[in-house]
Amino acid sequence: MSGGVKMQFRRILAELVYFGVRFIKRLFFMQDGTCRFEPTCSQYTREAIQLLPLHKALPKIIRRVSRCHPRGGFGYDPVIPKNVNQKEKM
Amino acid sequence: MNKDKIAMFALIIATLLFFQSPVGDSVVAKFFPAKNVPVADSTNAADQPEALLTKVAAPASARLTGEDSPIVDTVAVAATPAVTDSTNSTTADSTVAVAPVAPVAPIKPDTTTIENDRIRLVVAGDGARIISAKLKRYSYAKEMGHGDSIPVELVADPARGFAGAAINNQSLNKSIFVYAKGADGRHTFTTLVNGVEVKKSFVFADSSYVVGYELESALLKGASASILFSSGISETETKDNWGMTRNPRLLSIKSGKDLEKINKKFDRKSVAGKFDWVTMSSAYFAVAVMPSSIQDGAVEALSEQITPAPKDKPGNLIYSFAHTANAVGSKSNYDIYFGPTKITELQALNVGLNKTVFSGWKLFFGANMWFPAICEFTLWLMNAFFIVFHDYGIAIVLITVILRLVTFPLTQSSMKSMSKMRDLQPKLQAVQEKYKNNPQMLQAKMIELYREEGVNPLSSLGGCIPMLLQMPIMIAVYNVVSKAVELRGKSTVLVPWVKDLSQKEALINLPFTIPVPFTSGYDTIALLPLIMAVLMFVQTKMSMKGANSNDPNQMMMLYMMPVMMFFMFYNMPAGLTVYFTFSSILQIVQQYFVDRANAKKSSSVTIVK
Repeated sequence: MSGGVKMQFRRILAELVYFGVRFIKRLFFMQDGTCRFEPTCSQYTREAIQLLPLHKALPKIIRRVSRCHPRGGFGYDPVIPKNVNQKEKM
Repeated sequence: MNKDKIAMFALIIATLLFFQSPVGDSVVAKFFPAKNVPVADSTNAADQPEALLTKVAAPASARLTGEDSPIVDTVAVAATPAVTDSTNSTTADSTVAVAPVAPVAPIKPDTTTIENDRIRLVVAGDGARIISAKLKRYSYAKEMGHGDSIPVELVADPARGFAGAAINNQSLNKSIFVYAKGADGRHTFTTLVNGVEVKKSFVFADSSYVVGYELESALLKGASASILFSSGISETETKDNWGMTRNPRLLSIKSGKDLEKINKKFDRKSVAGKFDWVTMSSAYFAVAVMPSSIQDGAVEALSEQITPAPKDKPGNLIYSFAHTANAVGSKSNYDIYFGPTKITELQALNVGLNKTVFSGWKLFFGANMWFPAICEFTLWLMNAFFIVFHDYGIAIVLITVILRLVTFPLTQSSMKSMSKMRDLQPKLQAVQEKYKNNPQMLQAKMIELYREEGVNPLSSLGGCIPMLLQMPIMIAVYNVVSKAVELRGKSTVLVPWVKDLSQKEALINLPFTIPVPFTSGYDTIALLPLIMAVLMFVQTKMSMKGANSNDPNQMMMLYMMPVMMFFMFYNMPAGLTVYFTFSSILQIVQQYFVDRANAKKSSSVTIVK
């Protein structure tokens, strides 16, 4: 994990959003489990905020959430496919 | 990873604490400056009444009919805070009064009490103003269930009162009226203004919260008449968790299809239009003024801070207003509603007054149009259950059952799917690990795995969106429980120690207040929030069975959520905690059966294999 105040801020923001979503879901007795995608939308959001600058993360998040309907596709859909991610790391 | 979470919680707590602190208040005040009329204290006002009046009257005179407008003065007098000493107020006001000035000696004019079976009005001789309006069927929360109940008082400040009158913007509030009882529930007050007779009548009907108001005088021909509600509506409830902001006082103005609800601080507001009604309402009670003939008129309103007002919160604001319109012939007529904000009562008036009770957020899919209807339906259902069972606790429980039944297909399919997915998780992770460098292959393998195990994410009812449908219903239940006057003072057999479902629960009343950040402090010991938190913990634990117990996210859900819910619901209305507790129980039961069915199925599958 690279340092930097900006990165740290992003990671904290990601946790904040994730927690907020979970809290609201809990408040309304909404179940996890019917997710069409892997990772789930809230995990995806957290990941996106962590990995990308906000102006890139936000459109991705909106696109992803708006695909959560019967004709929206399904399956494995990470923010950044893992192989690409690994190349970056190297 | 964990560091981030800790930082996040620290951030949340720091932010909340900041806005609770005096420093935060001053920052808020800096960015959202309060533009209120400078409220002088009573001694100040008595010292220099002209200064106050000129200051406020100057911008207003242009707005009204163009004449110099003493009506503003009467409202300006209202701008001074509660004047406890009546002689003091007389001296302060005497410069304003254009009507025959009362003798200098502090005369205490006669007061008259008029009542029917629901309301009791006390009318003062000076100005024939209503200085007390009591609702006989509603008592203060403290006295509720204590035998000799004290009816709630709607007039916040008797020195100013309700239903004052002005002709051509000249206040009659200092004129001395003489009372005479008329026929058919008519109570008439008469005075002379410049030698001309002015009659002010209140017309009472049996079993009604509506009082007719009539101002009649030869002076009114071609003149404008005003009705002055210089006093705001009083606070009848004790403070709750959020310091009264849950049900802030409202000033609602309806003209045609436009309904304006104001619960903000404003300077001095003057609007022109054809008004159906002007209403000021508190948490559970309202005073609505309905002109008998809807014609061009003006509403002048004022917001003030209640004293003592520790913070600039909307709940601590109080509104006064005046309605001015041309007289019809020599008369000016109004209907005035003094009563509870009970939907059925308000609907019966058939002027859309029920719209003041429940509101929706316009920006959220035009919720201002459909959300009140959901709330009213929920309340109607609750009242229907109440008629059968005579218990609002049972009514709330039945509504919970109905809500769970309606959303059953959704929750059931997602619970089933989740239960299976949980069993599948290790296999899924193995597949992901194996094909992590080949997304296309991974996709194919995942579909294969789902098919093999009989899990189909596509079979669920269209993703997460339908789950959102139950949100409005839940918010409606919350709204109904915290706003419906029907629940005020009602207890339930389900939780016998709850005296009032609309108030926070008190198993034991503490003689002191435990200061808790973000709340007005806890002065009771409550049991339901604890039960609710424990049930929430149990439910989360059940749904996590077999999952990786070292996952920090899961741990956060497991421990932090119940703790947060506990604090959040501690001072909430008991009706709401009843709802949440029972909803948790139902969910646990459902979860238990789904898990058991799933376990049976998977074990039989292994046997076959």
